Amino acid sequence: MTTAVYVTWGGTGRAASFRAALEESAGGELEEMVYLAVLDDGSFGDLEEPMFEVVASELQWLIETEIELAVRQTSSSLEPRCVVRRGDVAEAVVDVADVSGASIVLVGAPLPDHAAVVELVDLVRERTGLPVELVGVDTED
Amino acid sequence: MTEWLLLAAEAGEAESNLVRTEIATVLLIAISAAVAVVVRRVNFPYTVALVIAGFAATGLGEVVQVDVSPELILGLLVPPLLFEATLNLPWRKLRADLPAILVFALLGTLVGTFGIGWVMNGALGIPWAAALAFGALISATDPVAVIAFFKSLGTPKRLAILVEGESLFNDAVAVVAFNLAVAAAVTAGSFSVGDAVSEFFIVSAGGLAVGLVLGMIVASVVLARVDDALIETTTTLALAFGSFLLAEEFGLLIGQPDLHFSGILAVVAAGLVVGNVGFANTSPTTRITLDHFWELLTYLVNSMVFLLIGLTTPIRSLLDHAGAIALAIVATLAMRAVVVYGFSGVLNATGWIRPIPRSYTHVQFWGGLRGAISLALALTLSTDVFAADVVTQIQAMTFGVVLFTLLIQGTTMATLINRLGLAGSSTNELIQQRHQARIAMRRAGQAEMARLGADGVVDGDLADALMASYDRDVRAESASLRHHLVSHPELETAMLIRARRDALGAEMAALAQSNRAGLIETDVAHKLTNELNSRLAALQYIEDRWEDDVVPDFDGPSDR
Repeated sequence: MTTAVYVTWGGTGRAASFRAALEESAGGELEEMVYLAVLDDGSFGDLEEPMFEVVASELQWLIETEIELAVRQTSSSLEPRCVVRRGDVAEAVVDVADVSGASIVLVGAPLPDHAAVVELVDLVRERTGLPVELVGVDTED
Repeated sequence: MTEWLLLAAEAGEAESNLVRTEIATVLLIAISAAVAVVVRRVNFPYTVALVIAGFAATGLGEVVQVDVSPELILGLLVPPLLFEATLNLPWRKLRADLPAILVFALLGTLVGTFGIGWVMNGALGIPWAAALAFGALISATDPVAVIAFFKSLGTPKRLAILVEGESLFNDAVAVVAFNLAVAAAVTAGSFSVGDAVSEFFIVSAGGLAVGLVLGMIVASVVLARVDDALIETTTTLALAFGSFLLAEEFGLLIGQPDLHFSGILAVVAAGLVVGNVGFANTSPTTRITLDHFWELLTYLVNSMVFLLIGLTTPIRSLLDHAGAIALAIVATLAMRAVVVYGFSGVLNATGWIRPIPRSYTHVQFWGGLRGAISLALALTLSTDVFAADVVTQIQAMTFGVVLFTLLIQGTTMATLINRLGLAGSSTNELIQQRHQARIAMRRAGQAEMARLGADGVVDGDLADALMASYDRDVRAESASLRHHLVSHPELETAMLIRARRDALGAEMAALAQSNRAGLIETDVAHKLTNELNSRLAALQYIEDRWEDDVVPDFDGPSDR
C-alpha cells in the first residue's frame, strides 16, 4: 500500500494547502494519506497534561472536519485519517512515516516563511530517506 | 447629652453622604448603560460618548457629584484596568516585541517628559520641576478607546500588542518620573540626578518584584490547587488591589515609611503572571468565570472613568488657559511624533525586532490618547509644593490635552485605520457576510414558496419553478462564497472556529434545557458543563495559536 504523510502548521491557509495536497494526489498511486498535526513545544509547550488531552482531542475534531470538507471539494478518492502528536515536528514526521510505512511526505506550506519550511523539508528528507514534496498555496512563489 | 447629639449628627451626616454617593453611583451606571445603547445604534466611540455624557450630566447638579480624589482614581479605578489588560496579554506575543515596547515606554516617556517640560518652561515660564511633572504626567498614554477600535475593525494583533504593551509600561514610568519631579521641587537644594536615577530603578524593580512574587503565589498555589471558580476569582481581585497597595506601602512592612515601590508595575507584573502562568494552571470553568468577571469589572470602571472625566472638567478654567492648552497640545503631539517615528526608525535599523511597518507608526502616533492616569496625577499636584496658579494651569492643560486626544484623535482613529488599510480583513469578512446573507435570504424565499405551493396559495407548478430558480441562485451564491474563501484562506479557518464555537454553545443550551426540564441530575449537568467549558477553552487555545501563524520549533539536522 502506498501511503503519504501530510503535515502542516499555522491556521491561515491550512485548509487550502491540504486541498492542494489532495488534488495533487488525485489519479496517482496513493492509497492512503495520514494527516499529521503536531502540537509543537514552541506553541503548545505550556499546556498542562489534562488540558493538553482536551486540546489534542479538539484539534483532531477540527482537522477531521477539514478533511471531510476537502474530500467533498476535490476529486480525490482518498479517505485521509488524522493523527495528532506532541513535541518536535521533524521527530513526529519521521516517526509517523515509519509507523505508517509511508512512501512520500507532503509538507503543506501555507506560510510565506519559506526558509524555515525548506529547512524542515531537507531535514525530513535526510532522516526518512523518502521523497518530500512541498504543496500549498504559496509553493509557486 | 450635647456630645451624644453631636455624634448622632455626625453619624447622620456620614450616612447622608453615603446615600448621596450611592445615588450618584447608581445614576452614573444608568447613564453609562444608556450611552452604550445609543452608541451601538450610531456607531460612535463609547468612551468619547461617555465624556460628552459626563459634560451633559453636570446639568443634573449635585445629584451626580462624586468626590473624585486622585486616590480614588489611582488606588481604586486604575488597578483593575491595568490588571485586566495584562491578563489578556500573551507573553509569547509580548516577548517578540518587548524591546520595542520597552524602548517606547521607557526612553519614549523620558524623552517626552523632558521635551514637553522644556517647551513648558521656555514658552510659559513654568518652573522646571513643575514643567517636568507636567511632561511626565502627559506622557502616559491610555489605549482603552483605541483598543476598542482595534477589536471592532479587526486590525492586526501585533499592532494592538505594541500599543497596549507600551501603554502599560509607560504608565508606570510616567508615575515614577512624575513623583521624582515633585520630589525635586520639594528638595530643591539637595536634589541630585544620580539619586533620581537610582530611585527610579529601585522603585521600578521593587514594584516588579512585588507583583511577580504575589502573582506567582496566586498562580501556582491558589489557581493551581484550589478548584473553585468563586474563590479563585475573588483571589485575583484581591491580588489586583493588594499588589498595588503592598508595593506603594512596602516601606511600612520593614519600618521605612518613606520607601515606596511602583504600584502600577506591581499590578502589571501580577497580571502578566496570572494571565500567562495562572490561567494555564486553572480549570476552563474558572478561566471562563475569570474572563467574564474581569470583563464586567473593567467595563464598569472604564465607564466611571470616562464619565467622571466629563463630569469634572473645569470648563471655566479651560477657557482661561486656552493659549497654554493649545501650546500643550502642539508640544504633546510633536513629542509623540519624535518618539514614535524616531524610535521606530532606530529599532527597524537595528534589526532587534521584526520591522514595524510605517502604517503601524501612524496609528501609534495618532492613537496615543491620554486618560485617567494623566488626570489623576494632575489632581495630586499640591499648592504646598507648587504655586497655586501653576497648579491650576497644569490641571487645565492636562484636561485640555486629554479632551483633545479623546474628542479629536479618538473620533478620527477609525478613519485613519481604514485609510491605512489596517482593517483589510474586516472588508473581506463583510464580503463573506454578504454572500452568507444572500444564501440565507434565498433559502428563506425558497422555503416560503414551498409553503405557499403546499397550501395551494400559489399554483403547484409555479411554486416548483420558483423553488428551482431559488435553487439555482443558492448554488451560484454558494460557489461565489467558496471562491471568496479560497482566495482568503484565513476566513475559512475563522469560519470553522466560529461554527464550532456556535455548535458548542448550542450543546451547552441543550444541556441547560435538559437540566431545567429535570431530564438529567444537576451533578451530571455540572460535569457535562465542565466538559463543554474545556472544549471551548481548547478551541480558544487553538485559535490563538493558529492566528499566530508561527513556524514551530524543530531540532536542527542530526546524524541520525
